[in-house]
Amino acid sequence: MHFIIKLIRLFKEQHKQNRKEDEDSRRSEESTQGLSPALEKNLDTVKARFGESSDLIIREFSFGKDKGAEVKAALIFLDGMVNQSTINDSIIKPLMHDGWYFHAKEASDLSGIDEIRDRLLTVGEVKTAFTYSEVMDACLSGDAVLMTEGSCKALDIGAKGWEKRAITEPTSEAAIRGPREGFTENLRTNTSMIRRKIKDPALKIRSAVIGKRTHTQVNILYIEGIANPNLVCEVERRLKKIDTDAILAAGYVEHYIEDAPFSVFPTLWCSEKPDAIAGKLLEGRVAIAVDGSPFVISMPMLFVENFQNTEDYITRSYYATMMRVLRLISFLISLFTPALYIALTTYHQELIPTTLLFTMAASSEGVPFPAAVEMSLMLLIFEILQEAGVRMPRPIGQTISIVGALVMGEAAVQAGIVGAPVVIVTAITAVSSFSIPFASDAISLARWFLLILAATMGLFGITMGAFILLIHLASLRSFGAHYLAPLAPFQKAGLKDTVVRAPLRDMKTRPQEIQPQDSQRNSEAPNGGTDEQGGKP
Amino acid sequence: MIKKAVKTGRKLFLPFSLSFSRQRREKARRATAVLLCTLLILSLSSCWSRRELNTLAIVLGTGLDVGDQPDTLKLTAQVVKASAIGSGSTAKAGGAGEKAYVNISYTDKSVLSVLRGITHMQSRRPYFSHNEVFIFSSDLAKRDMAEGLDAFARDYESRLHADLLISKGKASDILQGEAALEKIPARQIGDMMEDQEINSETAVVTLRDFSIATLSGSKAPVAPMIEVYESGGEKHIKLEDTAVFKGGKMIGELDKSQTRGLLWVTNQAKSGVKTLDTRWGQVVLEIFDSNSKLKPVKNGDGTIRMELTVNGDGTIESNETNEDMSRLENVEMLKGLMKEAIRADIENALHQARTLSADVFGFGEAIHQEYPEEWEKMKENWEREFPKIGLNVQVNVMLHSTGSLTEPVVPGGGQ
Repeated sequence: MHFIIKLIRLFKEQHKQNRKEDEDSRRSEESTQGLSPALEKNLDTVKARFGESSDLIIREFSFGKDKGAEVKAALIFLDGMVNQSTINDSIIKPLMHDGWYFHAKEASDLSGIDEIRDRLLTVGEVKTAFTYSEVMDACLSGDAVLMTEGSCKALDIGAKGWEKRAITEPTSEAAIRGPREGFTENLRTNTSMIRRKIKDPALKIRSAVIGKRTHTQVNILYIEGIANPNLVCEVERRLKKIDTDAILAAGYVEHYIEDAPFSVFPTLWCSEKPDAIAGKLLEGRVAIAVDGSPFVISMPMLFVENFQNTEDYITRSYYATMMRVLRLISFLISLFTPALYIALTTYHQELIPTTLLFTMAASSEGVPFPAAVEMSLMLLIFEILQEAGVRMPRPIGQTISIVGALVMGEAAVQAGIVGAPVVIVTAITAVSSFSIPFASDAISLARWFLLILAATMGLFGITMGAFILLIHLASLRSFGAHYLAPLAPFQKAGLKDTVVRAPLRDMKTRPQEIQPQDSQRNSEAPNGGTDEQGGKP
Repeated sequence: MIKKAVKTGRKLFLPFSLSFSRQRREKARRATAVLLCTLLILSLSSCWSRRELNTLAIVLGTGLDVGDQPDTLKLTAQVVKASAIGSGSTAKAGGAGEKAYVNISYTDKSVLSVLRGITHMQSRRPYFSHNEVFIFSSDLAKRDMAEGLDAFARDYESRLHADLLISKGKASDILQGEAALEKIPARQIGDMMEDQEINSETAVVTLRDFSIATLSGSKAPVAPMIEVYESGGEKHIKLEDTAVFKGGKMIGELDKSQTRGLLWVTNQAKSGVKTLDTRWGQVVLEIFDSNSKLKPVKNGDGTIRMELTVNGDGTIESNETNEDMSRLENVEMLKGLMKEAIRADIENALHQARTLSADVFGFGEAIHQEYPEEWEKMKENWEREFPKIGLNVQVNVMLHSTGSLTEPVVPGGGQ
């Protein structure tokens, strides 16, 4: 029986593959077709490929010697994707003004079009295209294509210039003393922002195109000499394995390359801030920037990164350390408080201080639901409020907070539907989870898990849940790095940037767990000696 | 070169080369295992003891009396009325005049049957984890402590660090007493016991201390006594004297001075006030930071006597005379008086203990630790041996300061 099913599956797969191959070969045949010397024919083909696309603009014009001997040419581009001033001033204008000496015969020569490229076009980036698919790709990526009568080559002129969002302050990560600029949706802008931070030729930006339909540009950034080459290879390998038709944001890429897709905890870190990503690159990590996404992914990710913030390295180390501790505490609070509240009020009332117990008992007087149901309800409402607040347009968002805060909180308690402590616990939980924004989605899922365990088994359940979470965290890997490092496995040097943020001058080594090629940040020799020739080339 | 890197990369980083279906099957197996473990964990938690806060009758004080019928006992549980005590908006429902507690009494043959019996009268089950005081009436204590004591010490719910008191009258009356500063009388007693260390006139005893003393065999357990007194038509409660037990029964009492003597010997007197009568009038000393050490010593003839060293530190708290007490000879005189007072307390307590032939000081245990062989011989008739044990008292007193004044407020004389 098993065998038959396997056989059928095998056949199906074979069939699918055959069909796919057919399609692929047909497509490739079409695309490799070369351009014809006849301009009319070329234009017809391009028009046919684009169909009825209204944004396709074909500007036909002629230039050169007197009538009869002039050169017929056409400029093909997609409206909105090109910079109009480049088209007008750097392509059409020089051709029509300065191309007076051209003769149709010259232009039809193989070298004619090269002459145009070399002597007339005042554009920085010009390539030669030979096939229809090259022409199509150039148009789609925002370039203008120049074709001339009689030439079976076309010029792919870089005229990219579409409307894009200006560099603004990131909305997801606020900065107090750090740089305020955030990534945009434009890939080049993003990489240039990193380039501006790390002025070193060793910063390598490798490119890849992912997505059969979207042809999304994806760049891999790393610093040669710091990042482990094995890590770079692995990142490239995983990117190459992505088989999908659409990559619309960085998150898509994350899902395809992450180590633990079924875990609630993220194993890839991402940021909207160039300084944060530059910092990660300098630690020996690899970053992936995806066109169309204001988030840049960095890997490998360690659990402690949830508690780190770029501001930590700017503020003085005592305060930064305090903030780290606070974040750790708020992580624990937002994870455990609802569960602890349930466990204490329904199983372990003896652990509550007597006077507090009275207050809690008083407020649970006349409340119709069991504590666990009450807590779940309030947490559910909080999650709904949060979601609604995020998704709603700004002006409506305010209404939500009023309705949420006043009606849900105050009125529910007044009406005796929920007890006041439950509302307080929900509020504390919510506020705490916001102080570690990156992990808050993981926490809100794990919180429910613990809540259920606490409601059924009390503190025993919480202990079990905590162990399960801990074991899970310890088993996670991100690109070969142990997720809980430098705590487990224990690395002494890494502790300087864990709960404590040591002064920068003492943090001489890069995180050991991600195995950087050059583990030393300063010019000392790696073994800590202060010899003269310690500096690395 | 790149190929090589890829190869090593595979070794270093997660083996993605594993075929997908195998990975998935592995994952499914693991998920099943986790699910199974979770289900098994559920069975480990044995007792399903979930109880909502609003189904609990939180007991803060328990009184035990002799029941009306023979062989019964009457248990009075002081239960908090949460709706009346709570703060905030919920408190308004209660109103100002309402009492924040209810006393529930029930009479039956045993503690446990009483507790179950209460469910005949009340909608909530009594919850003893927050019980702060156990009050046994002296009638019951004189008859037998065992029943009530054992049930509460054995039960997992009640705490061993609850205070134990003996009421001079009925225990249920104590729980009715007026608590002016607290909402619940039992809390008043519980909090009161915490303050006793500043006067060192009450032996504070928890259920645990009492049980340990009972189990030791040689030591006679003690417990503070509490009584109701009337003033202005209202009933109030007051701590007074100490009850002495032997063989699980109350056999006698220690008065205030004897209680302090007991505390001196057992190193429990830490702080207190002593009024001394001098030639010129009263001087009040505050004792603080005092300690004592009890040590058995063998006499020449093989008998054992106890050596007690008491170190008392004090300051002059008030000087009602017009004599300058900072003068050296006066300081020496005060120290002498102080020593005498402490010695008198101890002698007093010793006399009473000998009369009752009850080893309230724990001499037996001290001897057991120091001279185990001798103790083996004495152990059998310790009751008769105890009154014969001699006690040598050495009192050292230090007067540290005269307070923030040196000369009396009204000076005169002495020049």
